[in-house]
Amino acid sequence: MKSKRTNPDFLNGVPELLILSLLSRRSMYGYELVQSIRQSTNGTLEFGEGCVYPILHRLEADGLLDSKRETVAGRSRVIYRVTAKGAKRLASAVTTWQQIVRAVHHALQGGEHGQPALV
Amino acid sequence: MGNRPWFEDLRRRLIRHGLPHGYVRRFMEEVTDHLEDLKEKTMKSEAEAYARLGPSKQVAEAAVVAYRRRSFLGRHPVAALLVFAVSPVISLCVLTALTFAGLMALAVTAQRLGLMACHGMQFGPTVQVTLPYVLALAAIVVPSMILSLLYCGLARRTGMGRKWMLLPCGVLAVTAAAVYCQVTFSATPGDGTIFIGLGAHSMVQVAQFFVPVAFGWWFIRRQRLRDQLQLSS
Repeated sequence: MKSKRTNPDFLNGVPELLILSLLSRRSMYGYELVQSIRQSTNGTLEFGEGCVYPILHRLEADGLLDSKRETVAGRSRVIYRVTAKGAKRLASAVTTWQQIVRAVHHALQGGEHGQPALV
Repeated sequence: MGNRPWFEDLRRRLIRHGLPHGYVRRFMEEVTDHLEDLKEKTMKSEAEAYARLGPSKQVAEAAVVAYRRRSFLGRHPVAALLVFAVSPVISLCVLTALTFAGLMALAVTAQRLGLMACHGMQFGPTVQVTLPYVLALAAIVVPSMILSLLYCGLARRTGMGRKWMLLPCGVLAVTAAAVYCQVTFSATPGDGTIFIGLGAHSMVQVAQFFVPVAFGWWFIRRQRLRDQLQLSS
């Protein structure tokens, strides 16, 4: 079987952020979520789709997500949604992410002699 | 599940890493649903659908890492080392001390109530010979047995794997084997002594060593049998 190429160097913490962000918009089951990640990132992030479940389960164990089994289109699905704690974590993760993006952007623009962007 | 080897391999890996059966079942159900969706909604061939799920080894590793990260011990290896390698020594000492204190309190109460002789020489020779062994059994062997099961259970619940089950059992075995109990009887009330110390003193200590090891081995073997049953079901 051909193995799926992934870009793990850039995935540290990113899937969690994306999952929380997408699930905060609406509740989804695993397959829907993966398609949503694919569409919202224009397929930039490549990962084994089976690897999304461990992340979902861990976020659920941490109390950031909630799940319940529902019947959707005649099939039983585990639907995930963001909890209040998850929403707080998302807000904090988005802020951190934006700071990192600004800092990296600043560095890439040759800002090593300027003011630090990440404080 | 069309491609049995992929699913079987994933399930085997999850179970072998010591993940709870309930979790493995749920994981497999969700991945199976995902595969069905991939085949139905994208009209992909089975091979392509499996390729999109990723290699079973990668998925299993992600599941094991994520499961271990759920617990504090899984996230912090140093804390795990402290809990599984250091705390068994402290726990055994505390439990042994508490058991001795409890037994002494019981003996004093029995004496005051007139249910027991005031000095050891009034015991028969059989009691005098067996009492140190009974004390060692009650205060060292039984606590080490209980603790080895508790630590194995903790390692299991946190998905830490079998090495983390063996570690506390080994530590408990060495600690228990290093402790000995000596009882001296006297005709004069108050002159009898009970001594608990460290060192090689009697053959009972060999048994004290093997009990935690045996219980750890039994726990792991029972777990393996359960895993095999799960795999064959």
